[in-house]
Amino acid sequence: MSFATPWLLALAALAAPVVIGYLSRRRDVRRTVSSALLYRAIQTDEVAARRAVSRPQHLVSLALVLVALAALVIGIAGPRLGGGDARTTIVVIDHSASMAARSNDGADGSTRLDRATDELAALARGMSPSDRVALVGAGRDAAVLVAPTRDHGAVVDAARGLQAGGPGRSAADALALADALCAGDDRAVIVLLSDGVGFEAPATRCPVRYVRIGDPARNVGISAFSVREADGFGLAEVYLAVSSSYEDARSLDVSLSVDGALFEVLSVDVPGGGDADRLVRLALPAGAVLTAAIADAGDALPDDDTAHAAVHTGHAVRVLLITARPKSFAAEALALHRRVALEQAAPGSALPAGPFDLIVLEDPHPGELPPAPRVLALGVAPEQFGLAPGTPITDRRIIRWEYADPLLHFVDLEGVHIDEGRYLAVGDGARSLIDTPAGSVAVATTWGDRELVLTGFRVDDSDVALRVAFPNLIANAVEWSASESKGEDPAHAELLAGNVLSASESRAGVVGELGGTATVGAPAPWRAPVAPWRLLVLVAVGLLLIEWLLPAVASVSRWRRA
Amino acid sequence: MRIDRSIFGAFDGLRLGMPGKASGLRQGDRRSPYRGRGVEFADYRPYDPGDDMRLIDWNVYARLETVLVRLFHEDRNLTVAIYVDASASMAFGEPRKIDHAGELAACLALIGLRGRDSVTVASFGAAGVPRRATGHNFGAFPALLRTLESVEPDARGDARSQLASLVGHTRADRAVLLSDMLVEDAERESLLRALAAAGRRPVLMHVLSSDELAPDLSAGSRLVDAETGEELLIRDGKAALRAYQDALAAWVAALERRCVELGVQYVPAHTTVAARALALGNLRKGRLVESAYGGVA
Repeated sequence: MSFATPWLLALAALAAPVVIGYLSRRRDVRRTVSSALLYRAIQTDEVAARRAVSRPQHLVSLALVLVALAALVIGIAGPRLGGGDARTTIVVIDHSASMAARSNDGADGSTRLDRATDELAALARGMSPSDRVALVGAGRDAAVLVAPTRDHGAVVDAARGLQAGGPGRSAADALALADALCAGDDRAVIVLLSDGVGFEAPATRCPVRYVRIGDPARNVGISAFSVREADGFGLAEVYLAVSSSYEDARSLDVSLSVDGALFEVLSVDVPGGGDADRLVRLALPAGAVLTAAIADAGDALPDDDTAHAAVHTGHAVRVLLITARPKSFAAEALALHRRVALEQAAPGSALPAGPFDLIVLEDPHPGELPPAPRVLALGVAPEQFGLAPGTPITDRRIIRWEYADPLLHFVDLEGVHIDEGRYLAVGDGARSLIDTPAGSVAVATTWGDRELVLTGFRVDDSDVALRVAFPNLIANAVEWSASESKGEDPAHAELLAGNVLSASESRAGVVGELGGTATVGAPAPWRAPVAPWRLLVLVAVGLLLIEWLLPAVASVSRWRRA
Repeated sequence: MRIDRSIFGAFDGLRLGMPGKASGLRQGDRRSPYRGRGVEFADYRPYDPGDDMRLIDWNVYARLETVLVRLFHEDRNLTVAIYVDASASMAFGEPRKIDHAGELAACLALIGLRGRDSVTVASFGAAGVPRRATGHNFGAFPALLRTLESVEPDARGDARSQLASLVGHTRADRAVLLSDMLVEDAERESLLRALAAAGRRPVLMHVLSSDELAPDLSAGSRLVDAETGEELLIRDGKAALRAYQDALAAWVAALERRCVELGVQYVPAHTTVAARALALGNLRKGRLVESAYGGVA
């Protein structure tokens, strides 16, 4: 048995004054009686009667008090059975859009995310200081928000800083990340704080405890929204789907606006607990972003009452590739893209004049790069960009990547093998795009005023170039850089990125049980287990109170009678 | 002391009981040992010069030629003396023993005064001069009550000499002593002897409180005698309670025995039974009070 705070065992020294107090405690209560005449028959030896311990029942009382004191001290010290190893808890907190749902009854204005954070705080309170806890967020992206730490307050603070939003497509990734974090620790446990919407728990080595957050809510939301050119004469096809979790059918008005200017209102009849869709051809006014909004939804989840879609046409993209290789996979892929105007240069040579939409680096260039808002560096040393040097890759398995990131759309990295490379540090403002069990191998960050995507491995040092994922990656990089060249407001990219929730999320339901997880406390929220020692503390305090207060009450009662 | 006046209404139709004859100096309703003016013929005696000529029985003289005088029973009232112990020990109990004794004394005084008996109430045992009041009819009852109510238990006075002094005033038909008798043996003997001498039919009404009958001995205590200041350390627990009750029973038995020896009627009058219930119960059974109309109703 070990103790969470063993120094508190020093409180056992309190036993000394208690024993001394008992030994010196006078048991005689002074009482005035009408006459001592009748009491002479039961008077006893004065010297023996002066001390409390002269009576066996007082010895029993002393023993009880010592037992209670021992229980109190042990309870406060926080004993733990089964060895002194600290436990590790990986908390996966869902902060997808459905976690912004509020209860329909309006009794409590808190969102599901607020309640999840409260659960996390309760869990942290129930831990001993030596327990470690990590926080993995599952929202628009999956990310390790706080690495395993004993600073439980930092974990709770990080959770309180989260905002619910975006489609919850990163749930499985978050669980995979959490599983990677607790690998090798037999006593580690993953705690999933989620409403369960969009989660399909993957097989994990660590046990997963699913804490169901929230109750089913009534909601309508846009579950699909897109626009495309219908013909060459300015017509566009707009597709709109709406989901409802209301019991009754509803008729909704959906307004359409381009760059904020309303131009059409569509009527959509949604059956109770079902979906409805509309496909319409419209002559769109000029603009960049088409927005659909459900009027007066007043439901549990406001995020899905509005959806955005980009209205765009293709543009040429000017790309500069700096590579020392005469035959480069990246050069081939870029040259094949019909919208790319590619210019290639060797490292250290005179570079063509800018500006470019995108610079792709396969080797470090010693001089200054021409102007370009975005840089894709494939295996270039991080120090080139002022980043911390990484350690060599040891575990070459890719366990997660950002599906939702525009750069990784349709990029399947499953089974990709990396021969050589370096782990990359994910600094402030950076986010990991590709993870191995031991660290990130691709990050998105900024470099000066440029956006930078950096991989820790060269294309030639992995088999990714042999997969269809590679041309998709290059094509995504072209689209990534094209958004700037189209003259779009950067806010649009944020606005458009994964803004449409899935139908399952829009219904704002709650999944009762997740396969492969242990559901805790359903339907009531999961609580940190109350240590039985706390009960022991309460019993001990109760015993002490009874021992010391009852005689006092009796004395007061006798005094009042007198 | 405090006396509850609401209990007095229960004593209509009662009078003080007296097994013997009344020896009061006032005319009353009770048979006395004296011959004199009355309505009930008692005896004849030879005429002496100076006798009232109206008492000569002329029919006897005509038949026997002997001059005889008719004698009649003379009805007198009872003289009742009620002594209330006002020593400090009487301040204990719930209700206080002094209040309980005062109510009993008031009840007896009321019953006596309704029967036109002469009633004296007096307190003794407290510091200072004993209080004393006498009444011969119901009109004196308020004054007796005021006297009783002015009595409060006090630091211990000389009970023996005070009672002896009170007894010296008169010898009553009924002498009633209301006391807890919680005094040392020698003093108790003196009190009992004084009581025995105080009346022809002395009564000891023994007043003990519930705390004295069954004290709380659950915790060890240092006991201080309210009158003497004597300190005792006592044992606690059930065994001690049993020992106490054994000692109490032996002490009461000895007291009763001594009362019988001295011709004193012993009547327990503990505070556990209300004064009214005692007057209508134990005192009736002990023939200290009886129905004014005869019978046992």
